[in-house]
Amino acid sequence: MRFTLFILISFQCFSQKGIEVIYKYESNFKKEIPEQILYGKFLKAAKKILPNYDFKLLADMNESIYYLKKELDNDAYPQEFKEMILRTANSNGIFYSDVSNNKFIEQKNAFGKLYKIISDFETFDWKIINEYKKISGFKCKKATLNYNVGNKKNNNQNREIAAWFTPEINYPFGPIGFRGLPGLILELNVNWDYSYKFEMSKIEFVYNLEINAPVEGETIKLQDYEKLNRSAVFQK
Amino acid sequence: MTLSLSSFNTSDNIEIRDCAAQAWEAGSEAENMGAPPSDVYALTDFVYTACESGTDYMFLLMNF
Repeated sequence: MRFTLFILISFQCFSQKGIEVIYKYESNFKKEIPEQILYGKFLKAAKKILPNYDFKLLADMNESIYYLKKELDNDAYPQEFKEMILRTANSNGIFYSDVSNNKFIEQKNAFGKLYKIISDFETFDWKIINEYKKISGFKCKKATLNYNVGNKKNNNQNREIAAWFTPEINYPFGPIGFRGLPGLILELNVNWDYSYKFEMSKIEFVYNLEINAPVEGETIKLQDYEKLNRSAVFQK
Repeated sequence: MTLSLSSFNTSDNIEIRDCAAQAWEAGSEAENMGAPPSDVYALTDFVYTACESGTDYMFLLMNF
């Protein structure tokens, strides 16, 4: 309660400033991982390694950026190995939002090059549900979304998204690019056979906030990016 | 050498063909499990690169 009051007072006094939020990963696999399949081994590695990582969201009322904050001090895994593990939770990129310009950028390595994938900020057709729960003292409401991580032809790539957002913090942002709700997403569940979630572990008011859009990478529209696949790229 | 679909058929090097086949299978398994297309590509490339260079990545995964 004391934490909540402090946050509420802070937001009332300094609402023109921004927030810094730390999210933590947690797996909730619903299906046994096939031992002999390599991707399964990476999922198992993610289950063990990713909870040690911090994912940071910086946001003001108009812009946000979300990225991997830091890794284990004794993290000695090769970069390409870590990259594969982060991919299993769609966490190998940087996510930038610009509400007033209705712009969203995901910067990530994909199909052999660094891309800036451009789309509208207003994209998701959320369904807001009258279910509530408290997270760290904040009253949160549930929203759901059906989402496909591919070209919508492979049902195995369907994900059921369940977000818990709080209207008490009026920032329309959240983890791994999920956005557009009337409040900050404090918990994001990505439900499929190998479900995982991101939950807010820390939130702070930030005085000197600097949010810059990603610069590097080849610009591509989301609808063109969604046409890319392994066969098309390797045939080039 | 970069992996391409032609690696399966046109390469005279049996090791390259084996690496390509192994990589493609790993990516296809990931796709069947529901991995996104970019991850399918990344895993295929990861396995092919490791195989071609003789890198043993399995020891990294043994602890999980």
